[in-house]
Amino acid sequence: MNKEISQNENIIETINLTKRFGKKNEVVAVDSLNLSVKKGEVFGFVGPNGAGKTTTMKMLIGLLEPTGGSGKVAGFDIVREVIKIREATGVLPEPAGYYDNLTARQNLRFYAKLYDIDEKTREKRIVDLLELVGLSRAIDQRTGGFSTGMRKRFGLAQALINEPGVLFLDEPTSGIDPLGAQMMRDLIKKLSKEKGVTVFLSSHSMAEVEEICDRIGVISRGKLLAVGTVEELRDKVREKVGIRYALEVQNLPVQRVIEGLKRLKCVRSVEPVNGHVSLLTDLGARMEIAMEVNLMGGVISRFEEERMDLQRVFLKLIEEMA
Amino acid sequence: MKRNIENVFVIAQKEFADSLWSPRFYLILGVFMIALLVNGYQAGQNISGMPRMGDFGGLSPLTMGFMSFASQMSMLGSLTAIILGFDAIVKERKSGSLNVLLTHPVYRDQVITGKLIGMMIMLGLVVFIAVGASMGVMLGVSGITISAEFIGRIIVFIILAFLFMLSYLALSVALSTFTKESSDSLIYSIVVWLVLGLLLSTIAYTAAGIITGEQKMFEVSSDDPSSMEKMEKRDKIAQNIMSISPSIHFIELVTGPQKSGIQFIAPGGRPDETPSEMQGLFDTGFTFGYWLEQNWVNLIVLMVIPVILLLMSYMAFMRQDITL
Repeated sequence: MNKEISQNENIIETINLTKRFGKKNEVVAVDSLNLSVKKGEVFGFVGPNGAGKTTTMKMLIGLLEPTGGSGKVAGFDIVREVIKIREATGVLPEPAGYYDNLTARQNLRFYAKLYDIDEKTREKRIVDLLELVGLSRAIDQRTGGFSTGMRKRFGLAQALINEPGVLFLDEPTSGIDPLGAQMMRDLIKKLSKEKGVTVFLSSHSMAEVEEICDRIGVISRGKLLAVGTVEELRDKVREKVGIRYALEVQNLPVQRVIEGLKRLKCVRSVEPVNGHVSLLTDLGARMEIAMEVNLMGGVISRFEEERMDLQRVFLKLIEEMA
Repeated sequence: MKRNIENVFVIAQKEFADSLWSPRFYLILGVFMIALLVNGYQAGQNISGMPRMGDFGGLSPLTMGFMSFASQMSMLGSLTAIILGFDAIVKERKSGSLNVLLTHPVYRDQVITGKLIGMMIMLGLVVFIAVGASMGVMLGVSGITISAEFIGRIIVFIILAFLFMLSYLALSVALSTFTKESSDSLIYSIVVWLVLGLLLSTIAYTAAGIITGEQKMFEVSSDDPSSMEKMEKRDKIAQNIMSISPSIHFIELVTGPQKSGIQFIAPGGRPDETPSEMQGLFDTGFTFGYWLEQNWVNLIVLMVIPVILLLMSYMAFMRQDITL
């Protein structure tokens, strides 16, 4: 049923995808979203609560019909070919509930019966998947007795029951302990690397997306603010807010360095901090600063960029939007 | 297309199995079965003793047995159906399992259709087992033999009981689609059950009395045509109001038209009977065709009520936003 999509081709694509709610369509949940995810990528979708992450995901798997625009997942139209999309994808929604009166095996068997999978393959796949997510020993336990971490991992197993090419994971590590979260992240990485599964995940954890995602999309108030690798996003923020350096100079007093650097156009601000100089500059100002210090007769003993973690990058982007 | 139909049956099968292994359902089914079996036993005892007394108001002892059976069924059968369906949708939506199910290749209409089919099969099984067993007890205890034609009428009774219980099942499923909590769905279902099964008659006659004007019992006299006319008008209004209840149609189909208002006592001390009037499905003095001719309206209403309620659930479910 899957359409042939080669590596580096877009497996998820949206053009001006829009969703409005309300009687007069007055609430814009997703606003003209243009997004593309390549086959095999792990794509992280981050944004504050109510940003439009889940609504976007709902539209991509055909649970919500867009108000405007279009989209394709695995080569299928998100409005006209919903069932084909669901056959080609796996989803771990949030919240996710299972049939707690049934065992893990019985639950997976039920989901598997919704696909064209013969009995022998089905039973083997159930065992394999539960082994993959570390729930082999709980195969005949009722899911009602599972811990939150076990439920998340079980959710991943149910999302993989049809061997999907694309996985949609809505906050896959929310509510679970750090060990469980790491286990889940390792699983996602393994699926991407070993099985070539494309992963589209939403998360609140910046550390998580930084660790596992190839590219990140930042969404706020339904608008896509930026898309790129962690470094590309950092550069975007740097361009807007500048780069902060810590500078230590020998042979020159701090005040003299500050006065000298203040004259440079590329330096936005400069101040003394604990015996060294902290300065905010434009992108690509490093060389100019080094030369100026040299001209003043100073010897640079430390010239380090204060790297922004993704959390700050994210906050800066949201701030910029506001 | 084939896959779509198969998926409906996968869901139906699961729904059926869920009910089959639900302790709550066994509890209510047990109460229902015990009540019907006791009723069957008592009716059997009465039947075996009644030939000495002869027919009561033109009704055979067997017919009387079935009438009491229908009355029991109308109270407990409806409650059993409610227990079967009150959390059909709301529980899945609340637990998030509907969220997960809809991410697999199934349409919403397949989900609701599958669930309804599963519950209907379970309901059919319950009716067949409960009615079959208690009728077996009744006939066994009474020691009477019945004709092939009478067996046919018993089968029709089972179908009517199924349709009647289906009305309440559809009602509880509809309420489970509209409500946000299982407890709300149960409470609303029980309230509707109480109103339709117990209070409607009182409400209907009170409302009819208000519409037609107060009429004291002693004001009614067979010698006074205007008082009789007023009483008949009141009865008619009340019966129209009561016709919203599936119980009324079921009872009328099984036991014949309901006598209302004041019944004049015949000199013999028994209710004034009109032997020319058919006393429901088990009145073997009339043919089955005649019964059908007399009761087609009731039959259609009993079929239409569940269809309307099921359609309401279906449409509400299709329009709902399932939170992911």
